[in-house]
Amino acid sequence: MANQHFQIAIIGAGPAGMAAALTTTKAGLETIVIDDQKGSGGQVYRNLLANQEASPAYLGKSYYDGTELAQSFANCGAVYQPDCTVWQITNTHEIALVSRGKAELITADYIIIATGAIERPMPVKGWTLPGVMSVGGAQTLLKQAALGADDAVFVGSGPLLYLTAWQYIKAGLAVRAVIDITGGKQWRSAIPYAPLALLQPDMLVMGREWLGDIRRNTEVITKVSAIEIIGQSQAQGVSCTLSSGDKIDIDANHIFLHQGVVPNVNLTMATGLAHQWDHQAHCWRPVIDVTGKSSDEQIYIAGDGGGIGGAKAAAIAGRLAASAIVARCGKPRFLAQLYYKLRHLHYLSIRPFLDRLYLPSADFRLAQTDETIICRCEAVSKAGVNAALASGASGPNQLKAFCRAGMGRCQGRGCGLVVQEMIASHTGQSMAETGYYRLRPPVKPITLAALASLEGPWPD
Amino acid sequence: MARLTGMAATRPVVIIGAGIQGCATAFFLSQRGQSVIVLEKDHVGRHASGVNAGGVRRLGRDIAEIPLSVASMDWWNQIDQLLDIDRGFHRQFYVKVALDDAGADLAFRRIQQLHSAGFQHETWIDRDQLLCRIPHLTKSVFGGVLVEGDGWALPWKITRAFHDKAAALGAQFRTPVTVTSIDKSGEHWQVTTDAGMIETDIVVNCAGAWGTQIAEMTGDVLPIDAYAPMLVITDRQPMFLQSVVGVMGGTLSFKQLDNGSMVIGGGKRGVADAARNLTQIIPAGLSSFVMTAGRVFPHLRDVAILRAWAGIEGYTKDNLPIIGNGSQAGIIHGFGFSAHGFQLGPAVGEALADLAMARQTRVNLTPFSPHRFAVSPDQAAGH
Amino acid sequence: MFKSTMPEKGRIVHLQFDGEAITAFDGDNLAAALLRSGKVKFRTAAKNDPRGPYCMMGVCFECLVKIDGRPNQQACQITVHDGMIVQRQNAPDSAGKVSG
Repeated sequence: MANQHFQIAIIGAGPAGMAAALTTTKAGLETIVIDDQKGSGGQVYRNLLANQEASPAYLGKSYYDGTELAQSFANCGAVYQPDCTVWQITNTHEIALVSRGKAELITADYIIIATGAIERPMPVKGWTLPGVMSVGGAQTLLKQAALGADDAVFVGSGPLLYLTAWQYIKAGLAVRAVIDITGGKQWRSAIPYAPLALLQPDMLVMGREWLGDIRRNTEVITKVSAIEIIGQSQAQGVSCTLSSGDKIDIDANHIFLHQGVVPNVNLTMATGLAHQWDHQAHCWRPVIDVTGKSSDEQIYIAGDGGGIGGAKAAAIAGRLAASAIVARCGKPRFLAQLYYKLRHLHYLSIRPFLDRLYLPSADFRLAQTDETIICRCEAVSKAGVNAALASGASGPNQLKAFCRAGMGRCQGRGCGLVVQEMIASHTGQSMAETGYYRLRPPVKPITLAALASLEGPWPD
Repeated sequence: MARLTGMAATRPVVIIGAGIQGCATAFFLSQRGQSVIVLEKDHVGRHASGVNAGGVRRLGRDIAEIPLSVASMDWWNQIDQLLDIDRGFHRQFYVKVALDDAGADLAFRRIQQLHSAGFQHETWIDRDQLLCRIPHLTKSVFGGVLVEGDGWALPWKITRAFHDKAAALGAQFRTPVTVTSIDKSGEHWQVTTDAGMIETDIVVNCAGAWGTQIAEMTGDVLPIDAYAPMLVITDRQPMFLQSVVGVMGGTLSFKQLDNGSMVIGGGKRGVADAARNLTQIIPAGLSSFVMTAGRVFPHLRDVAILRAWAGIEGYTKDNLPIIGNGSQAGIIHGFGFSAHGFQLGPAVGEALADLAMARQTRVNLTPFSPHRFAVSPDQAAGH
Repeated sequence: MFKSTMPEKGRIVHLQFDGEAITAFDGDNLAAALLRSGKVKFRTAAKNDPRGPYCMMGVCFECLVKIDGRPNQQACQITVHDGMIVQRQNAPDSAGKVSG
């Protein structure tokens, strides 16, 4: 693949990346799909083709809905490069890759970034203890390895949490409790958008089913004001304070946290594309036009990486971006673009409701106690971040130098939004004014030998 | 000038740029009771001063620069007391290793050249001694040129410390404030910014890669090129290195920080966009100097790079800095350090403070005179 | 403790985790195989802070282990192979010494 040029490079093989490839290959454009993971599907349809044979029912309809897309992608004729990480895109559209310890540079006329979402950090005391995982992580284990834990506690809010707890129940696992942090305030701000959400009746019906089954099968704790995970060398339980002031302690070795997903902006930001603060969803998103085109004429962004919409919206966004590119390559597809755009808007109609309902309160977005770790990589606590603010750090990048938050391997994926909001509430500036970490290549760590491999073999 | 030589001016001296040179100048002036206003368009240590490789070396310098570098080392050796900090300077040794015959040849010629110029601080260290002091070095090393007592510092920490101390002594730092024009008004200068106008007798231009624009506002044509030398930082490793390592005939700089991570710089340049404050990493360039690091320390094969970055720096045509009085009275320039100004910072701050107070400087600044690039504005416009 | 939610099948492969024999299935994800064997602590961060898999999608870097002598491998992104030697990874602490 060395020094190859492609007409289209798609980064990510989730619903958006797969769907985009279907459109570009059908138009006869030479397409490469670069996937950080070992198999296509992204997170939402992870391991979907491999799961066809046994087809465990507990994964539910929303998962198997992706089957046709995944199968078509497998046969679409795109060059598929799994287990391959993009660590930089230069302004001359050189894409730096690393796969199995070897780096390569490829170029493309058009790039579609479809790198999806990551979970919003949920910094509660003890969240670094072994045994505590994100709900997304727990779901991945279920999809990829048919692995689940009895007596786990789910903490947080949002569709992914309810879906995963529901999948656990359907898989015959005992769920110890679901601690739901959705508050009355969120309900009140979401309700006016419920009529719009009615345009997505399937989603609402599915959500009702999940929540109903959860309530019938496990204890659901609501009206929660504080969460703390207990344990020394691994998680032993959750201590949960109710708004009434009462405290509930639950023993558990497996605790799964989740409070929504946000666009994974590490690659788009490191590429220097324009971003904006999304007030409704409380996260950064790349600035894109109606077709998904970013601030760089040659780069499109499709799927949750351009703004959270879920799997179906992502697939349509992939089609839309790909059609726009196909049109620019001389094959006008105005009707197709219009059709995809309308369907995309239709899928997004539930977002104003969901974004408001599941935006966690500041109590949960920001850590509640001084000793809570904010930056997991560098083990910087809330007190550490506050000390840096007190000594004059006025923005996220200065704060890195003051206390090392955001300087670790994950490049701020686990702390960026929290640190940004702590700064904003300290300085009184808005989130947009406060800004985010200046992200640097490599977008993921790369070994010295892998980087040097662009020049030749590592010296012995 | 209506003031006595060597005395504090009544109007604050205006320093443009809060990198290490500007902060050090502010510190020395404040220490002497001179009021100072520092104007910075971004924030303290935002560019090359905050993100350079942190080498504190006399090793390998242009002969014209050695006296200034040696004078600066006096300050580095007392930097903790000077700035009230802890472990500000990691005094170790700095060695440029020779990896082949050509490298060894360069080393010998360099040492001879220095000796005939009267400098003895760079010495040859042979292979066995070198491997004894740095056991992880490649076994195929020939030897190297070494300076005892050179080392490294954390650039951001030192720049910040000069800022903090200067501020504690009364220097005013105004950030983010951009200078839009500098105009002569009778006996003094008017520095106009996006946050108002300041009258002063003395303007010190420490604007780094943006120094040319500031100079131009004072009528001086001092072209420099903005480049962005690239650096990488690795994951933490067990401590194995108590020195800074470079290569003869190359531009590698390699050090291990207290926390175990390594900073590798290679002189390879990324893309600098000074007008937009942006830099970009060039993957092939990174690869090239990381490979050089591999030739020196092959055991680091599996160590991960966490970040690569580049700071915008101004380079002069002869790679020597511009330090000295401008063509008009009251204008002083100190920029264009061409990616080796960090170690010089303290001595440059002292020298610029001397110039600002019309005192004799400790080091002869003739080699750095702005007038060596003298062209008339008409000539420059003709280009 | 994690357990299988489907009948287990596939060729058995043998690994070592910090010297302890562990069985997994061919094609298994390493983090999943270790969790199935009851291992939740994969490494220590600075100050002996214990850590284990968190995101399972390669973004949090909490599941780093040493595999066949190579450090910093993301267990959640690795497929097991027979005879794999896996070790917990202990970070050099802030003083630069190898702890734990």
